[in-house]
Amino acid sequence: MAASKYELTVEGYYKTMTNQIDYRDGVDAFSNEAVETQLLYGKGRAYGLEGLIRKKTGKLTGWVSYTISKTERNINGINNNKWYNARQDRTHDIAIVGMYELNKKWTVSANWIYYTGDAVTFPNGKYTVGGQTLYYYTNRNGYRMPAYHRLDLGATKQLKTKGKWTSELAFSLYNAYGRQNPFTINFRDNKVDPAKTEVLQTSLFRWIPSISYNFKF
Amino acid sequence: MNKNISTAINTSTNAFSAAIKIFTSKRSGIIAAASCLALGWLTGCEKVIDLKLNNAEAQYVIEGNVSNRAFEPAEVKISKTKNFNDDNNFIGVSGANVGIKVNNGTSYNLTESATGVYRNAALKGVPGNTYTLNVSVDGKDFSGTSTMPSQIVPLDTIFVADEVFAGSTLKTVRPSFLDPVGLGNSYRFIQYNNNVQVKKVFVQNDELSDGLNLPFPLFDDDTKLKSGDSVRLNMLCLDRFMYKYWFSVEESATGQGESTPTNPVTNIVGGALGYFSAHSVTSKAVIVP
Repeated sequence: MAASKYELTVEGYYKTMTNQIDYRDGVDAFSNEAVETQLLYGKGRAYGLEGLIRKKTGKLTGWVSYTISKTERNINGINNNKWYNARQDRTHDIAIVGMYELNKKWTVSANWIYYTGDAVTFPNGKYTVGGQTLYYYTNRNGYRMPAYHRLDLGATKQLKTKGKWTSELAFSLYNAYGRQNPFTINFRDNKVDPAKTEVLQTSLFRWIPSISYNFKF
Repeated sequence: MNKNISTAINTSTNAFSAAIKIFTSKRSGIIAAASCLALGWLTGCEKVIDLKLNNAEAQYVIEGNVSNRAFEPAEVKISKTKNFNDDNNFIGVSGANVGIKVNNGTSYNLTESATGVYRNAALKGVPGNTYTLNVSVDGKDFSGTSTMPSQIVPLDTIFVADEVFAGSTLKTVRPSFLDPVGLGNSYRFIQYNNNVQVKKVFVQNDELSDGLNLPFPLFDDDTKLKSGDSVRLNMLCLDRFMYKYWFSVEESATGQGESTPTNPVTNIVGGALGYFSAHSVTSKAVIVP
């Protein structure tokens, strides 16, 4: 590899944290009580390895990055005082970004990202109280949202230059394969048969195409 | 001066946005940006999914109620947690010893009137009294204590009016009652539409409404009330531990909340889910206009 053409970085880290804050069970954030009575304090640790390889010159440029990591908390009064995943704990995080210059006029690009879903609390059982189905929880952040991933595509056309005036037309497609990345996951009784419970996933955007015209003078 | 003006128009099935940004050069140190974002309609896409959930060891669930109304017997229901994919039908636990002791020394035994349902019609709650529940079942002991608030705050009237909730107009019930001066009053509302209980937890206290009559709307987007429907509302005066219980149920145990899900803060000692509540009840009914 020619040193000037490519760049390779690998970094590792381990850190310990004190005075980590999380909510007490049954927190009442709108209460007139002092907010610190609704919080619990403890320690945390985070460690991981990050790698990046980048191609800086030529018709094809871009990078591939990968991070493996772990972020945990240990707070008395939460999760039976055992270590648990912080919400933002992300085991894998991958990004692949490429740009290719087809000719003087056209450049195309693509990027794909993937990361492990957030650590969340899902129920391990259910029961009925007050005529309503309630859910039974055993571990804080013991489950994962489904993994997040999407592909974005783009193409840019350089338009004619007139004196100082340069302009370009850019086309792009966000989430090209229309992945329904979950935004929330809720649990409820089935509307038709209330004796059954179901899991409802809500996702936001799927494909978002866009066209933009950029000019400079 | 180097100027860069860009115009972007994004369209999609879900969102429409137009943005105009004007930047002047960094050299001049001035960045002026004008952006206009028009979101036509942002609809979430909902679908029912399969999710693999673990099963946990079944826990006891105790639901105990003592009210001041003579026709409502003191009742304790005992059941166990179920796996997520089981049905929601109540399966009672038989053979428990259930007793309630009053702070004046009187004790009542509750007898099993249906599987897992224990009752004593002679026990009528008195405002100001403290009740202690004792349950022993399968060699395990559970207990709980609750005080019926000394003042019965009556529900004066209820009215139904159109309210806008999350973009849709719903016929919504508001309870009218005068909170007594002095902090510490807590209320729970149980609503029945055409004699079917609304599956919502309605709970409030007087931290922001001490001594006032503020009829907060009871939003229910599940059952859509229509003119001619009958509505009955029970207002329960609770002690503060039962307020905490219902508040934490609503916030974090209904599978819908936005806060971190947890088990509600129970007043049952010994490791069971559920509650023991001594409360006063007043009731009003209305036909939706």
